[in-house]
Amino acid sequence: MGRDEFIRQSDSNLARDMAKTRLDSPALLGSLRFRSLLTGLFILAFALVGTITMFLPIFWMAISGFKSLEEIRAIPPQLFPEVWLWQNYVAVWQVTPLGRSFLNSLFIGLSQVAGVVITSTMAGYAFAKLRFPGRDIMFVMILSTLMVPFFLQAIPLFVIMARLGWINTYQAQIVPFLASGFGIFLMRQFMLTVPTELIDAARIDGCSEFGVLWRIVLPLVKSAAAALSIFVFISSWQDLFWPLLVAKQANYYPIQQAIYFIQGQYDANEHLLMAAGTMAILPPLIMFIILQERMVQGITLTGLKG
Amino acid sequence: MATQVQFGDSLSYKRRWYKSLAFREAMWGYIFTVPVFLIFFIGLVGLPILFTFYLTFFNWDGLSPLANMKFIGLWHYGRIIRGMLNTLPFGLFNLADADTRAAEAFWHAANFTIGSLIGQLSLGLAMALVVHQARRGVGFMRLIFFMPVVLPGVAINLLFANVLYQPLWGLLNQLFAYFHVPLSFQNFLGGPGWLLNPATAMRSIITMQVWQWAGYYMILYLAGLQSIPETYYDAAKVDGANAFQRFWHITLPLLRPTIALTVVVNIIGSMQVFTPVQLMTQGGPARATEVTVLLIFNTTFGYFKYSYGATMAFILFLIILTLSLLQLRLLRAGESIL
Repeated sequence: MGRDEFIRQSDSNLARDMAKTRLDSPALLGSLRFRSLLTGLFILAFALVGTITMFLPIFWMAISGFKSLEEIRAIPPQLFPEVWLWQNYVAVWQVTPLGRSFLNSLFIGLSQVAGVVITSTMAGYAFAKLRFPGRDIMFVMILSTLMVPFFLQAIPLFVIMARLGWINTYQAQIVPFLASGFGIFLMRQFMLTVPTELIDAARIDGCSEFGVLWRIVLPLVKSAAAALSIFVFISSWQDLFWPLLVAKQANYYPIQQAIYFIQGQYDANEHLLMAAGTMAILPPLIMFIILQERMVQGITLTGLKG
Repeated sequence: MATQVQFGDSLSYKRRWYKSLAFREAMWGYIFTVPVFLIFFIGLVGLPILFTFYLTFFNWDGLSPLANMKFIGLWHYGRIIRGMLNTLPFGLFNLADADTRAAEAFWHAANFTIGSLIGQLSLGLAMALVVHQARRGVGFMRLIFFMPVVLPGVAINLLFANVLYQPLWGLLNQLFAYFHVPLSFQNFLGGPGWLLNPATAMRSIITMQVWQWAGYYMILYLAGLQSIPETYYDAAKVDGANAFQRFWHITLPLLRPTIALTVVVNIIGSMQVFTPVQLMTQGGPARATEVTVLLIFNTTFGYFKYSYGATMAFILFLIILTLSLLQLRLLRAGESIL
């Protein structure tokens, strides 16, 4: 393609000759083919090494969850256990209500997703398509909160939660995260691309502002909303700072804190720790396998936040 | 057309101000934004930040009534800044009443940031370049390299801290011994003492972080690479540019905006590192990995020195803010030169 285009575009004979000699002479052709073979081999080696590097630790965790303590600590390392010890999983399950923690994480994550999507859609629509005094100053103030790290608000936020009596509740893990400056920014950017004529047409047809948002705008920015949901859901199980503060009872632990607690309980019992870790990564892994392309797209869309 | 004149315009009846289109639009604008803005952005972000700033001038244990707080001015700031001066290299300063522990925590966070910034971004870029070159298996490689990003960080930390990084029987040390990996490379990654050696503990955490997050940056760079038109490379090839020249003169300048943003995002995130450190070392051994957010957490909620924790938080915020503004300014300056 490159050669043809080059020839088409160039009007001098000299360039045409140059392109011909560079790309069509037999010796060069051979060396090009040799080069692309080398490149292919390099890429293959890279993919192989990369795959092993990414998979081996996770595979090792899964397999270690079934071993006995002696097998985990074996020198040289032992690939498969002699007997598959399913009771490791039972033992982990008994020390802390792990099933409850999974449900907690799911509930907290989904609540945050619902909150962020609703508030971001509403505010994003208003900031993109409605005119009212004070709009821009409000938007700039919301944008500036993107620069604020969580630990800066954490101390007073914890005091507020304590005064409200919200320690050991779900509210404490949900309410502070129901709106996100990043979410509003993302939705606004996407809603700017929705044609205003479409919205006006719906209004003339007697559609209420909620109706416009729900029936006209939201279907057009679905991909952004999906990306935002995935982003919020993944980040809900990455943070340990806030759960450590507001969830002191095992009943309210999200999964990441349950894992942290198990590590404290089962110090030097690596087989049980690996069983716990395997269980913790299983639901996200399954979700990733099902949603893979959508998740990668979501990260590309939302990626600039981190 | 006729109906529009009849119902929409003020010809048929006198309009009231609250029925005007502009008012209705503004009303909906406020309904959609003001509650969210007041509750979440003023109530749960703005006011808490102001309160944190206010706290830095007082002594408060978090329990006694707010009215009894003792005003101490800039005392907290002084202790931390003197500590930072004392920890500068060559023993330039030796000031009394200085908190070197807080200062060291800042340096540890900076150490982590530099390591994971360079590691994640360069590895992510390398992966993106290779995957972009591949004709087949692009989707597969993208998924495999990206997979660790979506897994809960705590489980990954648990695995590395308890099994892979174990010095005696850990998988990594055994593999290194089997393949006769040179000691300098082991040291580079954090081995063979890993988390137990104060000199290598931070490097081990960085290695794990790079393993988990490089794929994330790969995805972002891949999106950037795909937006570069193929014709640029063809033109350069015809002009006789070799692979390195093509990378240096086409890929890198055109990726510049993506790189700029990932650098800023990474600095903001890495300076706040907490979870891996809390789970893997809890600041040890010998406080070698005690980073600022961990120290803020322990000072505030462990030792009940709320106002001192707030001061550290505020100083860290100022550092992050300065770094990211500086970074944006520098990169923008570079852009105009190019």
